[in-house]
Amino acid sequence: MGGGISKMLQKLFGNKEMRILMLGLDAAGKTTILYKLKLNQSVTTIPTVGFNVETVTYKNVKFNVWDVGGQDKIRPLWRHYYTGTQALIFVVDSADRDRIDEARTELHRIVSDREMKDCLLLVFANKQDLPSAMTPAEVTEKLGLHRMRDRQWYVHPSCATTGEGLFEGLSWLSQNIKTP
Amino acid sequence: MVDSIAAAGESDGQQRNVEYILLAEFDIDRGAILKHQYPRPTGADDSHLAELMLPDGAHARESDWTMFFLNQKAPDESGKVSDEGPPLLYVLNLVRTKHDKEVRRGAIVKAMAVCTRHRFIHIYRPILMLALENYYRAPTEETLAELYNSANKMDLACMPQLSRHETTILRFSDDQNMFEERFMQLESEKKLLDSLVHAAERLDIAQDSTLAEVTALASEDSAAAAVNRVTFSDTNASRMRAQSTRNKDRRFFDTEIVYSGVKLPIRVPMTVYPEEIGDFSLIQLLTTFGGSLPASSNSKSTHPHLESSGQYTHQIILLMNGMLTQKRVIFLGHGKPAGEVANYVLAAVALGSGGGGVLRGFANRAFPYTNLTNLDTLLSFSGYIAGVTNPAFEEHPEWWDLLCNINTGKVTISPALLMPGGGGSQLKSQTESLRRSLDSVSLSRNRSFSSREGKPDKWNNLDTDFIQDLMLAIERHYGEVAIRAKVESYVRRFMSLVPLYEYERDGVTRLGDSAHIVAAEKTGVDGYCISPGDKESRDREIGFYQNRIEGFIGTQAYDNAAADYQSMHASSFIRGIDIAHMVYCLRNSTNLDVNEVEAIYKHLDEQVVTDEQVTELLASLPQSQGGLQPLAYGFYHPSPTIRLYAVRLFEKIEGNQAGARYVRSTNFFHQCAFSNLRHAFAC
Repeated sequence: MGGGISKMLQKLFGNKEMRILMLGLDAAGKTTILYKLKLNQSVTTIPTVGFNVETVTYKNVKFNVWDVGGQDKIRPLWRHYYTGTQALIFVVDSADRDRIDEARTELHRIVSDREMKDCLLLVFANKQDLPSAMTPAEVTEKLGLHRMRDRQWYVHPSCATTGEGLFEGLSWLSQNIKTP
Repeated sequence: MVDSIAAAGESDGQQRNVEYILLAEFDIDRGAILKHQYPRPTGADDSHLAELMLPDGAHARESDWTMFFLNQKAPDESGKVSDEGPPLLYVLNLVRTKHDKEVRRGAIVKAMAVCTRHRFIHIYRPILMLALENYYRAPTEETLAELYNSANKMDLACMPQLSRHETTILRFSDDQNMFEERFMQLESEKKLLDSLVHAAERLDIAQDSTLAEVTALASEDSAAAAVNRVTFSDTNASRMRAQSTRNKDRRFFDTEIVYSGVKLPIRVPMTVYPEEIGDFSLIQLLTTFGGSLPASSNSKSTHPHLESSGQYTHQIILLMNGMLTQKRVIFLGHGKPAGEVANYVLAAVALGSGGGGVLRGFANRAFPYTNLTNLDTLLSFSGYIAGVTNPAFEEHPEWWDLLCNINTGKVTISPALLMPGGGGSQLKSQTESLRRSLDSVSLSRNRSFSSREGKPDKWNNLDTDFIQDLMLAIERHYGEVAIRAKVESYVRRFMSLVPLYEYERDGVTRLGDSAHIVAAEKTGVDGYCISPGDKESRDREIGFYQNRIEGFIGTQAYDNAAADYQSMHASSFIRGIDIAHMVYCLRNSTNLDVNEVEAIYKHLDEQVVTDEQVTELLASLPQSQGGLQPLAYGFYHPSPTIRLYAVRLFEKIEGNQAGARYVRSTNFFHQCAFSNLRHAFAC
């Protein structure tokens, strides 16, 4: 019964909950983004063994963010996290031109999964502070996002260490989330 | 039971302490990789091993312990598990994350594991810590080899091999020196052997010397002197030992491992049961899940195997039912160290197997720590007990039947299991067995069998006493052994019902002697039920546990129990009587009449003859529960026949090495009665 009341209150005050899955190649900056959002601090991260999961509240929306390790061998495990995911944050190292094709392949593999067909897609073109970083437009192009019909997607430039661009991305998510 | 497993692995003629040493590390580009396996590959999949050695969240803590098993046998298509193949290996793994500014991405994560046949796997903890530290300094296979050789040099030759029943006796004994003679014998044998080898070596040296001819005579002399010294030092040593062992706790075997110049003292527990692995805490499991109120499932339907008391089923009973009916049980500890989660799984194994000592087969389907990479293996088992730290498991109720959340202390039944008609093909076998048991529920209502109408109610519940007793004992700070003993007798009691139920239902049983149960039908007195009144109360118990029994029949633990019963049958152990029930009646029943008491003593006197049978009887009379006290009451019975039986039993017991200690430790009054009656009957 308590659950019922709090659900009603949530409706009244517009509190929303959102399950977010954050994926990307290894060393793209997923964990740094997660803890910058959570603690508003730039923490030095080391490679994630397995996963991290944290709750971040922003503009009355509770974001339940799953950050899963990105090494080649563990990518097949990503699919176990798809169930119930409302938005995918795909993090790209904008300075890593060599692996942008690899990133594209992985991204398309994820969104083609049946369980991910309704989820929003936010791409962080991360590491914009690096001199050789690709622009958001370039990332959009290289990831082949224009070919993605039937899906709401958004590319935003970011710099995880300073936090630039992160909350703008979350704003886009909270505005576009479909309330069930 | 365990002996046979250990023997199966000794095909190469040598029992090693440690079979393999593994090393894995987290490669920042490739993820978890297995770097070394020493002395040879285990045969298991490399990447799979590496994933289990580097648990989820290892990056977030300095170090963690995990545990997993090798050579687990998945059930075949018919759901049976074969007894053949390599023995189960227990793996203890230490993972460590070292931050290092110098290296790319700031950290090095490495893990080292010991694979052994020893269930007391925790003894390897100190050496593993030293070895992993050494590997950080010298990352080569030699580091693994050094650990392997040191661990295998640990001397267990003087550790007596106790049988299943002897283990029980020692475990619950007040007398730390219960099997002192066995230790002494092995120790003196070894001493003698050592000194003979020593003497022989001297002879060799002497003969090899260039002055062989000259010293020939002298060497003979010295050999003789050596032999003399052997005998002398042996008597001397045994005298000294007799003094020193007085304070020695023989429930442990003391030895040592010498590793890179460091002597590590090792205490090997002697009283470990077949399904007790590592140094888990059952008390911790019981307090975590015993506290909160039963999870109020919103669903109206209840699962017959699991919720034996309907919606009011206590969580511990829910878990017990899940274990006994071979359900898929997950322990989830999000944010907890993998080592802590693993301990819950090992404790659950001990819970289901009756303190580790009644049933076996749980370890074969236990995955103390596992993660998503192992999901396919996990799901290939019809029932498993697994520990995870990843909350993703919680979101997939189709993967499990019971989920025990360590952080909240809640046990949840999978909604997929409660849905009418079950959920998909994966649950097919589950729902089939469920339907079968539902059928039998309706069947039994028509029988005399289940006297209760409908579901068991909240208060009149055979399990309530058990749970209350358990919780009170924990509150009063009883130790692990005492708590495990309570669980053991609970499961033993349950097991004593199974053959009766099977016989009633099918006319045969694989767990008991049908011939003796038939006798009960006629006279009401036999090895299983001592009187018609007793039969009635047993039927009530069977009625209460019927669903659990139904769910238990056909499980791996059931098959093992049947196999063990058959093999014990072949050797001359006690057969045809339910010894646990006899002792239970003597200890707990308040209103036994003369005939019933006489029946019990008669059965015991007839069936307990050989030394092994006496040992088995002693094992069901643990000293911690008063030892021979229940039998000793026979000395004071008005019926002379019963007094005679009691004396005869005591005489047999006295002839047994451990039995003599039992008799000596009984109350002085009983001992007097025994010697008086003995003289009276002798005349």
